Amino acid sequence: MSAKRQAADFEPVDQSDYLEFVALGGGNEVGRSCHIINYRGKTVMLDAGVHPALNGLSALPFYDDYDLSTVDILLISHFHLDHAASLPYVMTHTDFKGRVFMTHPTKAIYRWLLSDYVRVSAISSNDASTLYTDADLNASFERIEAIDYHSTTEVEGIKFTAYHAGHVLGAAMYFIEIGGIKILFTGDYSREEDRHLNIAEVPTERPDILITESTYGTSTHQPRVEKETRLLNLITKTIVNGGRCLLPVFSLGNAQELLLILDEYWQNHPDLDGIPVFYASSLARKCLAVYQTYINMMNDSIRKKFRDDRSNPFQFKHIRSLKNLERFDDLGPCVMVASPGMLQNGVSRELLERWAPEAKNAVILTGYSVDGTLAKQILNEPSEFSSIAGGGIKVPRRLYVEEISFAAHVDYKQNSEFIDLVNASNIILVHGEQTNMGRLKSALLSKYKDLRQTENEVKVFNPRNSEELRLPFRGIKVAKVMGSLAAKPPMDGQIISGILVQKNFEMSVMAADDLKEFSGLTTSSVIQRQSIAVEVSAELIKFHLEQMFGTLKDATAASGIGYTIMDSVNVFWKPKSIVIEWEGNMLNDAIADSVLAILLSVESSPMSVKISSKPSHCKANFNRPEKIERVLVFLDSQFGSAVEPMENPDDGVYISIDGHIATVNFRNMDVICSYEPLRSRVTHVLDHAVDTILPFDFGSDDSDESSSSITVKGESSS
Amino acid sequence: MFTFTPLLGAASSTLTTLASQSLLTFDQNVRVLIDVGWNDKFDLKLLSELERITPTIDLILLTHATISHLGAYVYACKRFPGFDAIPVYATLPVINMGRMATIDAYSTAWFTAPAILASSASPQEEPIQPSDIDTIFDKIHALKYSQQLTLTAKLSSLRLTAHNAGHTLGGTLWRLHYGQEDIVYAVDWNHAVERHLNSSALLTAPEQLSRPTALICGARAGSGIRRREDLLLSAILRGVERGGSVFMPTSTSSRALELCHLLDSIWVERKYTIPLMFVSRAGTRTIAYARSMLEWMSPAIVREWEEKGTSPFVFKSLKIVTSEDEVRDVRGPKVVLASGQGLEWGVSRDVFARLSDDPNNIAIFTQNADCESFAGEILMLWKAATEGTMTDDGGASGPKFSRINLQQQLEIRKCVPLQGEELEAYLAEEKARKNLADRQTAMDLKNRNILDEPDSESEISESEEEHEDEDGEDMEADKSELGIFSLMQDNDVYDFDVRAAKSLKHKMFPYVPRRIRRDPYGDVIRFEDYVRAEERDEGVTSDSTENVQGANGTIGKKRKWTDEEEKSTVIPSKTMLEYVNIEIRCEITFIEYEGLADARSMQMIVPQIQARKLILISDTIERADTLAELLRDAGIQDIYIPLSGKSVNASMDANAYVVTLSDDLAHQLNWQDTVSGEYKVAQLKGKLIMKDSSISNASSSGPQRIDLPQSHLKEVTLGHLATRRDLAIASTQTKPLFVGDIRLAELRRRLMAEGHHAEFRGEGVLLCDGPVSVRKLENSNVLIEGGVGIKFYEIRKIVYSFLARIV
Repeated sequence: MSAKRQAADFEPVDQSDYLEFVALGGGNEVGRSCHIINYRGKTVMLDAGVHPALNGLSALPFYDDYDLSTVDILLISHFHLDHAASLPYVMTHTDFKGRVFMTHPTKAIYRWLLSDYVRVSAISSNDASTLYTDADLNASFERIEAIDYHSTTEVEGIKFTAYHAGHVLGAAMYFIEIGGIKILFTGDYSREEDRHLNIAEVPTERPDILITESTYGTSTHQPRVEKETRLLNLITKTIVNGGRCLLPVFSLGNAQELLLILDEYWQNHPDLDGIPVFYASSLARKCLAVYQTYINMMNDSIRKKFRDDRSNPFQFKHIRSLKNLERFDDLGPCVMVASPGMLQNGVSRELLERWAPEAKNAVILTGYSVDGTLAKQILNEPSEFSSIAGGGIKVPRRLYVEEISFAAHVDYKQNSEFIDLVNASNIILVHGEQTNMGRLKSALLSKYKDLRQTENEVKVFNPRNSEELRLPFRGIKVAKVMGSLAAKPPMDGQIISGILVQKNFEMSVMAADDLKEFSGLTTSSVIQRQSIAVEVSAELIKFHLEQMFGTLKDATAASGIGYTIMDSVNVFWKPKSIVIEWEGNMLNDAIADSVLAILLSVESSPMSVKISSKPSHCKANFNRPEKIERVLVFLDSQFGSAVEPMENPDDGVYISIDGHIATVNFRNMDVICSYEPLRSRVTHVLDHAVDTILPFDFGSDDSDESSSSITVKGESSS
Repeated sequence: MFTFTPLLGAASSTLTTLASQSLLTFDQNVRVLIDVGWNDKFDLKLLSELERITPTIDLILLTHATISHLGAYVYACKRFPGFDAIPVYATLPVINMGRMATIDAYSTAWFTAPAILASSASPQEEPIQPSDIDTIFDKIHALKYSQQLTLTAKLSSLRLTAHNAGHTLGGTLWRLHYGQEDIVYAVDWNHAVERHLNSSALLTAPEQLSRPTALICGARAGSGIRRREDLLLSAILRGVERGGSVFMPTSTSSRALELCHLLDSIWVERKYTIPLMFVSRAGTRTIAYARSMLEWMSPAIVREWEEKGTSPFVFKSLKIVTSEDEVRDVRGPKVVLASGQGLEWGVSRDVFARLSDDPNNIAIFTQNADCESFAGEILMLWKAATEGTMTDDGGASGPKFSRINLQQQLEIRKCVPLQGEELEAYLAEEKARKNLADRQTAMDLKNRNILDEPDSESEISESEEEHEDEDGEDMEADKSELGIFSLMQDNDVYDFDVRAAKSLKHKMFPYVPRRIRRDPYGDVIRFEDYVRAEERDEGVTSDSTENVQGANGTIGKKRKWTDEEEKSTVIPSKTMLEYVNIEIRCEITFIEYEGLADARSMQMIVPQIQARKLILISDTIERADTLAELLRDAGIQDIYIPLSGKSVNASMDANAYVVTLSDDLAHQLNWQDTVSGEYKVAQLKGKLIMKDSSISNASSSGPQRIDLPQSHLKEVTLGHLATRRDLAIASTQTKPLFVGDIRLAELRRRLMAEGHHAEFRGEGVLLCDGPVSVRKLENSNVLIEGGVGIKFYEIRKIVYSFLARIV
């Protein structure tokens, strides 16, 4: 498969063969994750975070750089602020119109977390910098759709599936398929088995593009067992010495993991019974119900516990929740798990300032510390640090500082192992500080350098924010041949002609007659009928059409004489009018147009004159009454009501005007009138009439014989 | 080639049962069993056919967590050889709730008394322990709705996805693809949203289920009555207000959830103080499971959770009890939901026996029961008694209450704790069994260790002497790994199963001495020997437990159960049969709460699926016929109504294969959008080029003709037509056409919008700008009529714009 969909070994003809990737945030940085993928007119947005170290609008990803109204779907990988906190902003303050998806636990926690975020940012900053309100949050919340792991959802041709990512409860990796191109977005992920989370899964299919985090770059974590032992040893040591242990954590995520570790440790060590363990985070307390509910999305060991013990592992037996610090009797050794994790403010900061002056106390940092926060600063073990109370107050630091990272991110070993397993030919690095990301990129490139210039070449990209990355791809175009076309097995050289139907990038070929049955599409024909008034004979039309189109088929029906031209256009002749009828399509329309052009020119065409000037062709074949009738027409039009037939209408008429009477004898075409002007007028009209009716044969002698001989001549000439 | 055989659940002349078992056969090669249902009486006769075909089944799928859909599963696993080796798939709630339903039912039926000493039913057979049920259900592979599943080996050409059925929690509609066959199995589904369930995917996501080659639809339909909550409540109040109790039998872990949630919220809302209880042997665990599966429930439940902050299945008024005795302890009027809708298994029988003789009491049946069951019998009598008063309004005028006269001797099973000699005998036997099991475990473990001796090492032939030196040490190591069990086993006895041995030589003499590896630097250092003390502690324990549980899960778990469960919670007891004479004096009523789509809605929904063939299965032929009639009215022609045990062939007759479009061809395509924008169409003319496929999986991954070996081997590409001759051939085979359908009303709107004048004249004639008329003909054809002039062409252009033109 790899050879088939190799990028860039051909020149894409089409713009649609390019996949575009833009990081609106999280490119060469940690925080405000937001990435856009666009391929074949479908746009997927991944994550919508804020930057934890920035405030207000500047914390947002660069939303102005992309037309968010074109986004079809937005997938949120997990509930952390740097991945989800600008979602209400996107949904209520931009022209984003797409659908939003996240997993069930993410959605449940997201609500608590963001309303907390709204509250905190409203307190800590002025009005101008609040991105959205509680009302915005609630309005957008209803529009978020919850999905389950492993269920494949399809939205307008974009298929996506959530896989366990292991980072926090509800964290998902998204496997996205657009028009045959497969993309895996890891979000933040972890491959380390812990107490409650599934490790990140390797999807069954191989993606073409892997978008992976690079938080820890090329550094390596300590093995988990060692870390836990170190943590528990340190805690025990501190407690035994009568000290207090502070574990600043982010309320959700590794806090729950730490609580599970501590609960288990206390369970196994009855001698610690007297030492209280607290967690001081109202958010964590609220969200514990979510953890208790979504047990089925955690790993096997915790599910087994749930099944066998008949009690929820998240109903801790040795850990108490602390609602606020006023109720906390700080009397002796204790363990305190408190938020926030980077000691910016709140309970953990307050306790740190209270406990920092005493050397027997300890603070253990378990998460990732972002530059510019106190957590990062205190790792350097300064002798004092400034108090949150401000006013230049300094707090002396004598307590023990230790960093034992339980951050559920992959290290280089896990990440490169995962990248190998996923085996994608294009890797895009996101979510990492510039140096870490750069190191990871060069490490990966040197690892895969043997594959360079081969068809399995691995490309690694680390685009900056708002830098457009264009990857050429050729989607394999596979179609399914169905119905009568596939009645016989395929043979080499067989000619297939049918209708190609595409729906959401899936193509099938079928015969036109099968269209309705297999695709539900109706075919219709547009029959068109034009009528034109042309007074020429059917033969003349036939002649002209034959000149142009060759042989005509006879299509004479009850309605009249008809011809079929080129098996597509029918022409029906009626006296005085001609109807052209055809089934509309491009070819037939063109034929019909040319037929029309011919018909319109028949009357005036020199050819018609030439043909119709053959005597036989044009000689009128009138019998006597008809002739008389026509003569009467002339007289009528000249004299109107003055014309009065004789008793025998065949004989003649009287024309009386102003008392003068002219007698017209049809037998000999004689005009008798005493009043000369009238006589000459009537004679003139009559001559003209006879000329018209019998233009070639009517002689000047108006004798009875000649008159009768007209009839004879006319008959004989026919 | 697809044949469908309902083993149970379809109409039959000899028996009528709600139990469902269906066999789907593809190409006479792959056999899929959907559902392993049983009736309420647990009639062994029903399973004879299943037992016969057990060796041929390749895959089992379960749909609903009710006895009628999976009741026989555990029994078959225990009793039918080979049945437990068949892979099984179900959704997580079906696994969890099915486990509860089975435990509840089996623990009250004869074959799972905790101690079988006094059981008369089948003394020769080992009883089925609750731990067995757990183990068997653990084996089922859990699936999510619309999860893409890839199967291996023989089943690799079968693709299956689960979709929401809406009848029970996790209830499933299966879609199976096999080659050309595309089957939707939809037995028991509900289109209506319930308190805790979403409506069926047939309604919410028909695009995922549309156009199957065959739709297998259950004909069992609900009554579709409205305001059933009110009806139920009024019936309950009627009983309670006159000082009586209300008794409602229900299915353990499926429909009970709906009723529990409904009644609890009514009780909370109206502040009722009448005791409300749900009695089931597995009640507590069922509700605990329900709490952990909110993601499978309706968004309303999740919203309730968000708003109230407490899980919707943490009941405030409803009390969950596990035995009939606790029900008896509550004096006075009460409302009791009891498991076992058939009054055959579960606690419902005991409760009913106690409550039925008080004329003030009311028994409300909410589900139809097997007609052979006790509940079925009662309902039959009730129907007869209310016959005259029944009207055809679907029960809208309110439920019918009736009293029936029935005196019957009921057989009631009781669990009596063992005492005295019996207890001692039991304990002795149990101890002996445990010893035996332990020895067996030890033996297995040892044998496995021997068989699993590193194969890879033995392949590298190095000098023989080396490992001879190390033999002694290895034996030591083995012993320590085996722990105490190895002491119980005589060292010289080797008795093991070599059938599963990896290599041939084990079958002859399965002793492979371990060898020390050497590299040019000397002995290879074993990392484990140098681990720091604190790490080793953790590492080793977790490792060894994993070993036991991972590789040999059954044994690991079993031990746990016997240690914890039987000793601590289960008191050794025996089942005694007791005969009670009861006289039913209470009022009986029936308020349908089955969670099934009614016939009218089926008539609306089923045709939208556009199945080529429809197979209806139902317990009675009349019911199937009635529904078939309704569906024929709705325009479905191919309807089959198979009888139990009889096969129908519902193969798809058309063929298909897959081609790859060459780039040249792909660039020539002139795509046209259909008006709906959903489809794109293009004329395609191409020439097939067959190439030997170098990568075989490329072709086998797509849907392929199974019976056509050459298409597996060849890669079929469709290239563009290069020669004039090819073009000529191709063009004789095609004619241009329009795709789409024109609606005159839409056309008129467009014409008006573009500044034309258009009005309707008579039947289906649209007069445009005077001289031109557009007329609708049959088969969605359109006639444009008019004189020569610019208007004609303008209007034609607009008409064309509604259609995708293929030229």
